[in-house]
Amino acid sequence: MLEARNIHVRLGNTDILHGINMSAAKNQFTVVIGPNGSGKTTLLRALTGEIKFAGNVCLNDIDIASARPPDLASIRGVLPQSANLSFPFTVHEVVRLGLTMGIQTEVNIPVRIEEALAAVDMVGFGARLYQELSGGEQQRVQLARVLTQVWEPVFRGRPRCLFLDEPISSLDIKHQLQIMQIARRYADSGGGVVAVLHDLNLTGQFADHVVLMNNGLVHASGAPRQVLTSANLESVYGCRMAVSNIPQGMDFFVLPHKAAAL
Amino acid sequence: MNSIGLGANAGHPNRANTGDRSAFARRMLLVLLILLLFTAVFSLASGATDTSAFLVAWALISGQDNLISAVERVVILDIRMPRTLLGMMVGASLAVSGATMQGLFRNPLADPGIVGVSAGAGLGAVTFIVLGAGVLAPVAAFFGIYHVPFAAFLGGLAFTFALYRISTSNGRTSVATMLLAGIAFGAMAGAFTGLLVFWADDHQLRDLTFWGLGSVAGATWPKVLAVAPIIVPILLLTPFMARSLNAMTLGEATAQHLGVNVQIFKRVAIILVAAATGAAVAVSGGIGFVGIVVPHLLRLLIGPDHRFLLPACALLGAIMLLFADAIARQIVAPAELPIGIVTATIGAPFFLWILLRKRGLMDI
Repeated sequence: MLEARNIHVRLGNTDILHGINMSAAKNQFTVVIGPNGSGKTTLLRALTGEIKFAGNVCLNDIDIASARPPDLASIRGVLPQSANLSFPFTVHEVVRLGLTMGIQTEVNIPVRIEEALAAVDMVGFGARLYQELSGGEQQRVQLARVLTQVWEPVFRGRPRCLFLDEPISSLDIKHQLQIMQIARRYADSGGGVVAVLHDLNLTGQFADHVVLMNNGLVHASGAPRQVLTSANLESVYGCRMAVSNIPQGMDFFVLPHKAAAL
Repeated sequence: MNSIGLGANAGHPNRANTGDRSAFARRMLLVLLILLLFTAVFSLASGATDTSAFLVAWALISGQDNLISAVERVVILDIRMPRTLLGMMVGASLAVSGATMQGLFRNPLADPGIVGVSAGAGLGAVTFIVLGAGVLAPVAAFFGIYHVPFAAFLGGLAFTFALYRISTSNGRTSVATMLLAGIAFGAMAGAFTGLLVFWADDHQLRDLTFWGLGSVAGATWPKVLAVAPIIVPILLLTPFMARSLNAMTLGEATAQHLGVNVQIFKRVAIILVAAATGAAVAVSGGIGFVGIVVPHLLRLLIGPDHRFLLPACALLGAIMLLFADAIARQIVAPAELPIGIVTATIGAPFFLWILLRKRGLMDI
C-alpha cells in the first residue's frame, strides 16, 4: 500500500536521506530501526509529506505530493514523537480532534472517544487536562487521537495506514507491549502500520517487515530474522550483539552486550 | 467487523465526567447572549439624559413613540444606537481576532494589539486621516466611506503576514521572535505615525489624538455602515474556521495530517484577522487588551474548543466593550474618558497576570 521510491531529503545544508527505496504492505507491521541520526524520523516525515523531499511516495496508489490533505487524512493517521498544547484542552477534547474532518459521519462520537481511550488504557482520563499528564500518558492520548481518526483498518474497501514515530519511547513495559499489540492487531485486521522504533527485541517480536537504516540509506530490509542478524546490527550500531533463539512464544531475542568498538 | 475492538466494554460514557464540555459551553453561549441583550439595552438607556432602559426597549419594540420624548428619541436613535452597535461590533471583532490569532500562533499571548497588527492598521488609518484630503484624495474618493477601514485593513494585513513569516520557521512559531518582532513593528509604525502627526493640521491633530487613545464616542450611522459589511460577515464566517483552528493547536504538521489544508487556512485566517482588526481600529482607534482578556477568561470558563470559543468571544467581547464604554462615559461625567484608557487600565495588569501564571509552561 505504501511505495517510496528514491527519496532524497536535504535539511539546511545537510543531505539527510540519500535515495531511500522502501515499501510497506497492508496486513503488515513495518518497523524502521537504526541508530540516532540515521534518518528514521526524517524518512517518516517524508513518507507523511511533512517535509519537502525529492522522489516519489504513493499511498494506496495516490501520490502524496499532490493529494489533498482531507483525502490523505481519511486513509492514514500520523503519530508525532511529541505534541505540546498551549491551551487547556481536556483529554476528551484532544482525542476528539482525531475527528476534525468528520470523515465518518455515522460515528457516535462520545462512544468512539471512550473506545479509543480504552484501547490505550486511559479509561477515566477523559476529563483530565492534557497539559497535566505525564509524558507517557500524553503519548497514549495522542495515539488515541490518531486511532479515532482511522479507527477501522479497512475503510470503504481500502486499507488505511498508521505512521507511528517512536510510539513507545516514553512508556513503561506494560504499555509498550499494549501499544505494540494495538499496532499488531491493526495490521492483522487489514491495515498497514509503519513505525519508527528503538527497541530491537519488540521489533523482532512484533514486526513483519524491518527496514534497518544507517547514514541516510537502507542498510538492509526484509523479514526480522533476515535483517536482525549480528552482522547487520554490529555494523550499523557499532557494538557487539548476539542474536539467539529462545523457545517460549518468541522466535528469538536480541541482547546488546556492551557499547564498545568492534 | 473492522475494528480494533479493545473498547467493547468501555461502557456508557457519562457526559458529566467524560471531559466533554460542549453541553456546558452551549449553555454559556445562551447566557452570554442574554447578558449581551441586557447590556445593550442598558447601554442605550444610560447617558446624560436619564431614561428608563425598559421604557426605551419597550418604546422601540412596540413603536409607541409617545412613551419617550422627541429629544430622547434623537439621543437614542442617532447618538446612542450607533454607539452601542459600533461598540458591540468593535468588541466582538477585537475578541474574535485575538482568539483566532492565538489559535493560529498556538499561544495565548498573541493579540493583534500586542504583536503590532493594530499598530499596522493604525498606520494605515492615520495615513488616510492625514493625507486623505491631500495626496491620497483620489484613492480616498474611490473607496468612499470605506477608505479608512480599507487602509487599516491593508496595514494590518501587511504586518500580520510579515509577523508570521518572521516568527514561523519549519512550521514552528517562536513566541519570543513573535513578541520581539511585534515590538519592532510597533516602533516602526509609531515612527511613521509620528511623522504623519507632525504633518497634520490642528483639526486633524485633535482627531488623531482622540482616535489614538481609542474611543467609540464619535460613533455615527455612516461609521456603523462603513464597518458593518466587513465585521458582520467575518463574525459569521469565523465559526467555520473553528475545527481547523482546533487542529492547528497541535501544530501545523499534525493539523495537516488531520486533514486541514494548512497553507490555505493560514492565509484565510490571517486575512480575516487583519480585516476585522483593521475595521475595528479604523473606527475606534487603539482599544487594547480586549483581544487578550476575553479569550483567556473564556478558555478558563468553557475551554479552548474554538467551536464555542469563537462565538463566545464575539458575545463577551461585545459585552466587555459596552461595559468599558459605560465606565468611560460615567467615571468623569459629564466629560468622557477615551475607552482605550479604561481597557488598558484593566487589561495590562491582566496580561501580566497571565504571563506570571504561564511563565513556567511557555517556551519563550
